[in-house]
Amino acid sequence: MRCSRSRRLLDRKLDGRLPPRDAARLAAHLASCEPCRVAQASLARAWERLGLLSAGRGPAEDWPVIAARIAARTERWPWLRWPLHVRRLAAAGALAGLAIAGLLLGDVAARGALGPARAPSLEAIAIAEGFGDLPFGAPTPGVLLGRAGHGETP
Amino acid sequence: MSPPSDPAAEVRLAERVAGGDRAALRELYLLHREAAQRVAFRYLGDEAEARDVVQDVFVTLLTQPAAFSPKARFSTWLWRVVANRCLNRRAKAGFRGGARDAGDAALLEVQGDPGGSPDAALLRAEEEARVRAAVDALPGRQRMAILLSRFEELSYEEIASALETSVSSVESLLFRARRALAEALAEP
Repeated sequence: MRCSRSRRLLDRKLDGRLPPRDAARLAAHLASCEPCRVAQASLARAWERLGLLSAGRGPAEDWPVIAARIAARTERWPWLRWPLHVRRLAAAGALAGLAIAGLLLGDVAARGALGPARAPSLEAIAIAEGFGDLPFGAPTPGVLLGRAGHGETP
Repeated sequence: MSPPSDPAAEVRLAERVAGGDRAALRELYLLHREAAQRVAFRYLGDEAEARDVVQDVFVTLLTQPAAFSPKARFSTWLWRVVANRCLNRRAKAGFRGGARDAGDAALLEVQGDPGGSPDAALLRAEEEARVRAAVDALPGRQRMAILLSRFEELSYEEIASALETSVSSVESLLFRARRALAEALAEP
């Protein structure tokens, strides 16, 4: 067994996850490899000393603080008081409403009801009456007659 | 180590919390506050920050119940949220864990023992401070993995779930963390 493999197995041994076959092979390697024995001892010592890490003063009775924080949030956002299934229904309803509104608005826009009225300009009417349809289309309003051409007082 | 609990009963409690039942939330809080506080304190090294994390976790359970899936064990969810909150706090700019809280706690523990000598108390406090510094030097995810493994005795699979990663990633985190600790805590 190579030392790199042995070092990996040391961790599993520490965690009690080493299958018997690997445990036997590791033990055989450690018997003949001092650097790996030193590494094992170093890991075991660090693992043990880690136990000195304090757990603190123990849990505080913070339930009143938690209750106060919840009360503050539900006062700010009253919907937080609703049970989860009610919130989900409300969210689904809101999404459905948005989807329907979006479809209706899109339909109306497509029909041009929201677009500006596109009445033909005076130039276009005059040219159409005089010359018929032009290959390049109707002139831009105001090009020939200025602002008076489409109803604006100069 | 976390107290034994009935996973099915906890899931029922969590479902009641999803219905807005604050009494159920309090029951879950009383069952799990000690373990949550322990992990948060060992990670952050600051008593006030650790208490804030624990409060945050249980407030979230009531105000965002959709975050908990009833199909999962409650403890799985709890570790995941505690780990996320701790990792996020550490990542905040300027946050520094308090070795002073850890040192104070060590002194209090020894002072509480009438049979302990002042020299032993001081030695223990120094050792604990050295361990604290070594743990504080670990990157966030390595630190959380080592704490969940060493003190809460979570399996690789449970740690992977808490850190939202794979088992092989957990093995790698523990491998690197142990080597770093071994180096930092080597005899001078």
